[in-house]
Amino acid sequence: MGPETAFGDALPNQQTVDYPSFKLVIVGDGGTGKTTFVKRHLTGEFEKKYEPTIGVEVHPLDFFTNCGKLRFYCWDTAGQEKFGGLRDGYYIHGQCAIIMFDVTARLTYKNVPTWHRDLCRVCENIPIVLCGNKVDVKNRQVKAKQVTFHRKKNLQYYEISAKSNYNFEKPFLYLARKLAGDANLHFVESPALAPPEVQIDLVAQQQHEQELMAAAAQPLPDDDDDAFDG
Amino acid sequence: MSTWQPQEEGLKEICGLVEQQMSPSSDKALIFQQLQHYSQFPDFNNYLTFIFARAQGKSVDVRQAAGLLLKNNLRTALKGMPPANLQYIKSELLPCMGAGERFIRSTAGTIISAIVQIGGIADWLDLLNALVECLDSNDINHLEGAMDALSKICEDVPQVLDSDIPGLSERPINVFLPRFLHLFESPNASLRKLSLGSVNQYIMLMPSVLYVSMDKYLRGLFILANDPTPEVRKLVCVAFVQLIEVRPSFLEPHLKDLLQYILQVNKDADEEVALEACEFWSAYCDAQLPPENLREFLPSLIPVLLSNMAYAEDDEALLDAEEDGSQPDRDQDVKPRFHSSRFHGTEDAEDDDDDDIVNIWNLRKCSAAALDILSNVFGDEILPMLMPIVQANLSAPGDEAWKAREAAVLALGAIAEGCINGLYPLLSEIVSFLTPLLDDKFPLIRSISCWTLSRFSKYVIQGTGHPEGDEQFKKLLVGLLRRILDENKRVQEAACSAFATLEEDAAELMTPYMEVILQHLMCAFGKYQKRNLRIVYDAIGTLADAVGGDLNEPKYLEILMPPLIAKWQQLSDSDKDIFPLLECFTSIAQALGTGFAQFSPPVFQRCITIIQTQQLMKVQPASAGIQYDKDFIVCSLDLLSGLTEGLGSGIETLVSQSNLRNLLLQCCMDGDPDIRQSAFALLGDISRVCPLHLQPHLSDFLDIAAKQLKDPKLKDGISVANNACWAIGELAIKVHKEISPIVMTVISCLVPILQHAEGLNKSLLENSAITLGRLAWVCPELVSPHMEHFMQAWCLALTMIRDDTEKEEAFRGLCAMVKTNPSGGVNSIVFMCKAIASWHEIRSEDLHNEVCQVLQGYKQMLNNGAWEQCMSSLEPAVRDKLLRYKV
Repeated sequence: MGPETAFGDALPNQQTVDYPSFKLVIVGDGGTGKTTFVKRHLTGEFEKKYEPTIGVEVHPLDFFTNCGKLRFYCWDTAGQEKFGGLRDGYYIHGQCAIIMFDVTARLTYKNVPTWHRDLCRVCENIPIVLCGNKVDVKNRQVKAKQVTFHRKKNLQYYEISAKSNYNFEKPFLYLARKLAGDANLHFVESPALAPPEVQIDLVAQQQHEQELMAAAAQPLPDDDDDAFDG
Repeated sequence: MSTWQPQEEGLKEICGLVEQQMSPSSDKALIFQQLQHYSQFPDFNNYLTFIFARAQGKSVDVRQAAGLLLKNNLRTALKGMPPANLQYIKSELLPCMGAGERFIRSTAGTIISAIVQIGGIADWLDLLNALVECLDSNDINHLEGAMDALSKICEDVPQVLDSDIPGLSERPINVFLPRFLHLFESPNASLRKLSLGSVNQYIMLMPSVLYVSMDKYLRGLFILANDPTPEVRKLVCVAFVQLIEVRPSFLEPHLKDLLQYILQVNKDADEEVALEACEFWSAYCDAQLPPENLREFLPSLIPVLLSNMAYAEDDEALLDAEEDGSQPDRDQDVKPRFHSSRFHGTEDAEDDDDDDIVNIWNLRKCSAAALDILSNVFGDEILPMLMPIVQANLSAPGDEAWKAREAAVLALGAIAEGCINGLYPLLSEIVSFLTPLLDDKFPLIRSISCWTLSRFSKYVIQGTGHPEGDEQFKKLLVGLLRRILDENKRVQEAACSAFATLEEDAAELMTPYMEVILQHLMCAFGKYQKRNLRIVYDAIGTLADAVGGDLNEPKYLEILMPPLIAKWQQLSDSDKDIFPLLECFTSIAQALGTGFAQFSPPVFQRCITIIQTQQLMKVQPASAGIQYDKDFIVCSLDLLSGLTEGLGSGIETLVSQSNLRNLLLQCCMDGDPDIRQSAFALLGDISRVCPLHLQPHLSDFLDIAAKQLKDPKLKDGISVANNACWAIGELAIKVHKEISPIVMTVISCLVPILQHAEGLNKSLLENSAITLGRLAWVCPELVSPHMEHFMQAWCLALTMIRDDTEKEEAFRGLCAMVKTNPSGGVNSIVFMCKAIASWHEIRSEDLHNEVCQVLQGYKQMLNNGAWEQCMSSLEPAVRDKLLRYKV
């Protein structure tokens, strides 16, 4: 059985590769580590310098399975309201999803139901993984036993650490198995991951955000006000 | 009606922007800026509405995206929007509920629900009319669109429909609910699903219209119970589970039919339906409903639960179990773990489940949980139904039956506690037939057998003391040890954790087997990969804690120490893998006591070096090219504490030849609370055995320790305050009058802690009471003038402390103060009496006599009848206790 038959077809609106690809939507509150998580994977086409997520950033991540290569187009959406862009508009045609929260910030877990609801209202019946990130931090606010949301909604739950790479592959593997409809699917080689504990420069992050907000407030050079005098 | 019309150009631009936003390759930052720009125009949302509702030539994707963007904008823009615009948006949305394109209908529902959530419904009565019109129409699109919107409103803000609205004769839910119930019978599966889901949202709120329609609702549920669509059946189960939780009385008349049904759907071909149905049993038991009603169903239920406990085809454990033990673990396989700083006292119970298993939820786990609960409710009664199946499954032959065998072993473990009375006489049989399964060819049978045996371990231990029981214990022990050396990582993990349970329960019963235990553990130590290696370290540490000084035999140390020392030498000072080794040495040093002396010089020296290096790293991060990590310091400080505790005054030479004093002082002043916490623990330990070596810096140590008590309510600081407080007390009884300069500072911190005890942790209270007593013992002339301010709160805290030498020293302080200032205690005699009565027995004869003198003194002093009055206010049990002090 060739790889093409193991998975569904690629969807419109995605650059095509000659192996199966899926649109994966990553959502969750700002600062929960969605971008850091995606950027652990080093084969994706992205730059290493930090940029806050504005609207969405799309990263193609390749994995090698016993049924061949597959690609997740990871739509890493902005968690912060002010950079939201289309927000749930980006979920359209999502085939699978990751909802991320931060185990050291209770509020990010409390907001999980809202992310889940918005997701399910655009993408009905897609496989979803709930990820509790930052389990490398000592003082957790959300203990493993307190995480129960996934039980009610039939989601898979993994504790992860984007910092130490702990459980990096698990969410992708779960989704790949669901999408392929093959419980025995497995990854045959590990993707190259960034070494654990690369620190993100928080000062640079804040500065960049400020610049962006300032830029957004500026009028555009070729702006045509008349169009809006309705 | 609406006169607003878009400008062609603006429409084109905004459509273009939305389109580009959705493309994976566009420059999102640039488009973001442009969208931000357009969003400042007052009629931007009108454009989005127009695109969503009327841009017929555009793709559904673009229209849907525009609709969602509109919805998001409304969250902030709705309030304060020009009424004409809002009117335009609302009126354009209503027809979209009946749109031909499904995604337009469902997005319309999403936007409508968001508007209702923000603005309520009183200002949008047109919506209610439109919804009713749609529901009463024969057009499937209109029906579905309206139900979609309503189901979202019911999910987001159900209470809005169940409220009085000006201008309406009844609450909206009164109008909708009968229509929902009617739709239960729709031939359209999506309508059945949406209507059922909507009614379910009201179980908690229970509006009166649902209350009076309950029969109809229940009839509807039973009709939908065998719906061809799995999602509908699942919602039926959700309804029953919720009803049994919050309104069981409604279900009582139908209980028999209901239980029959739930039993049947536990076997549903759709796993999600079966899982939802399985939740019912726990919900029923948790609601404390009469167990009798379940009784007649048990013979059919138990086999179903058992068969659902078998691994499903897609359970991740199946593939995980194939992992080869010789394969090194990757970073992503190893869960981060933490060292917790040393703490003097009893810590509040923290659940330290770093167990991923708690988070897996599926039919297997839910069924096992249900069986566990049933075994607790019915006890041994379920055994005659369960055991024949368990036995039959255990002996099911052939490879293909392995999952049934595995589930049978899981079942035995699940009922181990609930049915122990009935199982206890069978214990030797159970152990005998589980033991061979430890060697089964299927790894998951081996690992579950480890777990189930550990569930019985405490009963096996109870049975020791006669030959048969001892034999059984040995069988269990040896069986688990064999599995510790399994080639499979999951089995290694299960065996180690089962063995740790056995160690904790068996304690010194392990001693006769020490040699073989150590041989196995050290063999595992040599072969395990990173992840499980940490579990072996734990097992060694737990063993040391369990057997204590029994470990101190040359023949054991010859097995235990060389591999640990080899590892010790192999790891660099900056390798984090050294943390568990430092922890392990801490346990061993404490267990061996002076027996550790032969190993202590290099261990001591290395701790000093590590602390020194890390302190340097902290100030000059670039110098050595390694990253500062406070846990190196914390683990090293804790190992030094373990060494000090183990070696006692034997540590003195090592301390005197090092600069520990300076390093320790620095650590006591560190900004990090974990470091300070461990530093003050070590300060206390050093004070006990060689306080002289602190002398040159004594006042610095005392000042910095006193400082920690200033604000113990600081969340991070409470454990630091606890240890600092203890260390001050330990120092006080060693350096006596040299403590004087800080006594009043410390007392003034301790008194508020004792007086505002609520919400503070118990250990801090105990240590504060002890330390106050010790200071009073050493410097009664300084403390006693202030007695009146704290006697009552202090005595109350002393009452809570169990007999030990620390408590003795606190009471010496009490007696010393009373001697110096007897009138200071007069108003607190009742409290003092209670504190004295809290002793089980004062072992020290001189303290006993001093306490007698205190009481007799007060009796003489209060010769005007006040003494008798005090006595009569005490409880009889307290008065009885005081008799032994001759009053």
